[in-house]
Amino acid sequence: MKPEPSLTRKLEVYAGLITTGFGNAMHQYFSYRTQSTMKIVGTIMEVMVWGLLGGLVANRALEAELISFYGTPDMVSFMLSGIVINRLVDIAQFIDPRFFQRGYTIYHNRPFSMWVVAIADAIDVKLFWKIVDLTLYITFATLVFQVQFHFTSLGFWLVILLGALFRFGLNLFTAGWSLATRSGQDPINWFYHTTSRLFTGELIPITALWTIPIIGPGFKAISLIHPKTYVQILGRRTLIGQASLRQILPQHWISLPAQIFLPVLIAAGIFFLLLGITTLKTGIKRAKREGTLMWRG
Amino acid sequence: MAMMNDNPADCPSSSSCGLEVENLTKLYPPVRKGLVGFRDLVDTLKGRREEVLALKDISFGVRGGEWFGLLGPNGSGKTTLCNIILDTTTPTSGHVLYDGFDVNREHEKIQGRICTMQYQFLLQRVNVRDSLRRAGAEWMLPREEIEERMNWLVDIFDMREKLDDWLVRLSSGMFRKVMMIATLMSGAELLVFDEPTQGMDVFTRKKLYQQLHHFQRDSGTTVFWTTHNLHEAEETCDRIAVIDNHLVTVTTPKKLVQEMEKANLEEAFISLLRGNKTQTRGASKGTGSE
Repeated sequence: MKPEPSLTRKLEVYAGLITTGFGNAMHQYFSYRTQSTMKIVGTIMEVMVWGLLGGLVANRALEAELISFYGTPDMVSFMLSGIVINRLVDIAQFIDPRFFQRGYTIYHNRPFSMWVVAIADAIDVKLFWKIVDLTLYITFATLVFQVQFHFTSLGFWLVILLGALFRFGLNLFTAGWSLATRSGQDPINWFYHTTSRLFTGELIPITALWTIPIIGPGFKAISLIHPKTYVQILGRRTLIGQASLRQILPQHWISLPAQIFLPVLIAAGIFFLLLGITTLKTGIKRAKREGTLMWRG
Repeated sequence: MAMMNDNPADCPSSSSCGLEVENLTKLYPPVRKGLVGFRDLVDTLKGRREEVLALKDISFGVRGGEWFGLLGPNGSGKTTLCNIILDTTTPTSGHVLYDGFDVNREHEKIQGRICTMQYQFLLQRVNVRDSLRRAGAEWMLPREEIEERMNWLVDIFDMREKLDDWLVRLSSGMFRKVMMIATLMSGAELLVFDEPTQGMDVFTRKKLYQQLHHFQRDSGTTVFWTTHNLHEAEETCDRIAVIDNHLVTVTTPKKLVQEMEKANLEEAFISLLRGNKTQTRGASKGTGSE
């Protein structure tokens, strides 16, 4: 029987596994030269479309609303910062929900923490695409559309971290749900994705939606229960509006609705993390009982 | 047909016994019907929901360092048994012990000691060398040891020329060899193979047995091997267990052939299971008439 490796040795190997995975993903990424070029051109086109479209929206009332609610001076910075925030949360979500479906049977017997392998697994080719996309967005938004990003804001990174925590919990929930039910989609993720672009303020200011006659109040309800709404508001306030970490804390806000933003985001993060862990544990237990943890090579 | 065991206990003492399967039974929950579960409810009320039997009261032992074959027809429970050993399926009753630890209840104590041929090489445009290095890292091997084992195994498996090729460029037989090398690199004490030679041509298969035997003799690793290829089992396995949801026999391939008075293991296996099925049918008829 082999002796148990020391903690230092374990950490060294964990780091090695993650860097090896990163290196291999980089090899794979650069092996698709034509595809990489086409994707890069595609992303540049996309950022130009959103930037130009935002520039065409010249409405003083809307701009005043944007400054007071999001802290963004115009529609261009509103749209481009929304996409950047969204992509950053996507990158920082730690694991891919499909990992446990295919990875559990493989890694369960390794002398490793499953979580390290899950993170190493998430650092694959898709991560490179995401990083390249994000870099292009930030570069073009800054150089071509003169958007002023303040990435040094600690408050901004706190918001991204909370958003990532929520996504992580949601991913665990998806993983547990699909293990237990063998279905590819769960209702919470379905809701999250289908309502995300329209109701959370990624591209359209939510306050503009709320004023639509008849359906406006319904839209408002969806926006308010969607945790990403709070990531977008707080993210923009810190990234573009230069709000400090102290300024996004509830006591520094005067209006009542704004006071709930940060606590809601923290509560959503913790709630979904606990829900995710419980669902995943239940899903694994059930799949083991039913014998559905199949290896699909 | 009476059950034949070369040694009823199969493992005289737990010290020499790597793996012990004790009174193992696995019943899968009934398959769910319909979308809302109404049909399930009706079936439950009518007592028609039956669990699916995969394994019934199976006991045998595998000695440390031996090549043990698990044989049986389709649906006989071979994969279920492998999955229980790997703790990806939980048994209904009974248990499997490895080195005295329950593989399902004390899994953390045997983590890293059992390996199966399951590797995930998602990055198809990465070369064999880097893929194997990554596989070695997953078993906490030091860098030098990874290189050492990789070099040793690629020579055994005749794969040195392919080390710098992308995985996507390998044939399926070659790809399986890479999986096998990755499995053997792990240094695990017990290797569980569930039909590893499926889809391989006869030449590759033959070479693989030889190479694997060579490896096993050198390393003293225990091999638990399921296969439908009985020539393969006859050539490679030190001992075999034949199951058909229940244990039919535990013996050596040679002994089974001799006792069944057949020319080879395939004929002996067919004869054994036919006799067993006739006996089972006869027994169930008898029970029904009583």
